Formats: sequence, C-alpha cells, structure tokens
Amino acid sequence: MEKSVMLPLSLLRTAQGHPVLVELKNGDTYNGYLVSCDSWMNINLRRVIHTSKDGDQFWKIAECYVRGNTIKFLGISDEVINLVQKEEEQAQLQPEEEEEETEETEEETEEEEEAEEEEEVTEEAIEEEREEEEEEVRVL
Amino acid sequence: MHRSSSDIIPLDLAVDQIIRMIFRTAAKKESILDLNRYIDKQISVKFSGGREVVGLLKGYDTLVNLVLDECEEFIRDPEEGQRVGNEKRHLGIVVCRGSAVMLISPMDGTEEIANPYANGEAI
Repeated sequence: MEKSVMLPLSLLRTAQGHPVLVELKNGDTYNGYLVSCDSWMNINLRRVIHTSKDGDQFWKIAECYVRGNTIKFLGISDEVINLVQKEEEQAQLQPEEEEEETEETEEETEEEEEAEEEEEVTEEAIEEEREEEEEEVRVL
Repeated sequence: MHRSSSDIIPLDLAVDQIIRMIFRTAAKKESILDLNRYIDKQISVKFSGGREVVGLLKGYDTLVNLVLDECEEFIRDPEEGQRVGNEKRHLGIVVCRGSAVMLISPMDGTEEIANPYANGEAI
C-alpha cells in the first residue's frame, strides 16, 4: 500500500483539541490546547502557558489568537500523528461512504450557488436590456 | 462603422459585480476569531516588531484591524526590546493595523507565573 503524504495543514487540523507548542518568529513560545486553525495557519489556543524568548518569564493565559504568518513552527504530540495514520486507514477502508457524504454537501453548496447566480443573471439581464434600450434611443 | 455593444462592459455594472463578489467572499470565509466576545473587554495585543499594548476593544473588522480605547503600551528596553516590568505609557484611543497584529489575548485570566516546567516538562 502506498503511503500518502502528510499535509501540514491537515495534520494541524487533526491536532485540534490536543496540546501543541507554538514558537513564534520572535522566539516566544506558547504551549496550549489547539482550539481551531484556518488555511492561513491562524490559530486559537486555550489554557496557554507563554514562555519568553530567553525562557526566564512565564505567563498563564486563558486563551489567545495567533496570526499564522508570525509562526516559526508548531510542535505536535505523537498521539496526533498516530491519529492521522488511523484516519487515513479508515478513509481507505470505507471510501464509498465518505465520498457519498462529500457529494451530498457539494450538491447542497452548488444548489445555493446556482440560486445566487440566477438572481444575478436576472439582474444582469434587466440591466443589459436597459443598456440596449438606451442605445436604441441614441441611434434614433 | 457600427460597434457591437456586447464588447463594452458598462462601468457601473462592473463595479456592482466587483462589490458583490467582495461581499460574498467575505461572508463565506468565516473567521476562526470571534472578537465580538472581547468587545468592551481589556485585551492584550502584540505587534510584529515587538510592541505590546493593552486596551478596551471598541471595534474590529474582517482584516483584524482593531479600535482600542484607553490604550497603553508597555515600555521596553531600548536595547533588548524586552518588556521592563509593567511600566506603561498612555496612548488613548488607537486604530491597530491588522497586518501588524501578531497575537491577541484577553487580559482576564492572564497572570505571570513561576516556571511551570521546573519539575520536568509538563504539557
């Protein structure tokens, strides 16, 4: 079986709810539970311990938001890596079910988008008609 | 010579479409950060470059530009750039640019503590 690559952001997504270590570009580190992350690697942490760059001052912080572009690296525990491998195995074992689910959601979003587009199309059509009318008047 | 009207995009229509596109993408991308919870609360903001301020959050936008009231900046060592105790200077009401905002945390529940890793690494 071919081993698939581990994508950094999907590993990070799997690490949600687990403790992580975040080192910022300035050298400060933040240890806490990863609450959420997005595609820019912006993250939310909870129950955080902030350590200063030289490691002599410590703060306890209830929660914090870190902008992705200031992160140097993230430390992730081994249990998360095992979890990713398990999830991959599960995905390979039951590919049909998951595909169906994703298809359903895709259809839903497509329908919504179509509805929005229709609205736009009618508005555009009306405006185009108006434009044409105006041109005709000018020609006359 | 007649020029067909189809190859000319009316300016007002183009502007209208662009505005609609911007609003739709903004609505679809939901931020992981809910700053509404911090409105009128004291928050600490760290900026890229090392500055650090505390203030009451009065407003924000999707780019994480912030409006802070009663804002105070922590005084830093001019050589090391590190915080020197809790000495502050008053700034009043400020607008913080989102692109420079590095870290946001509520002051409620924040305290300086002794080394928690003294007895081997915790977490």
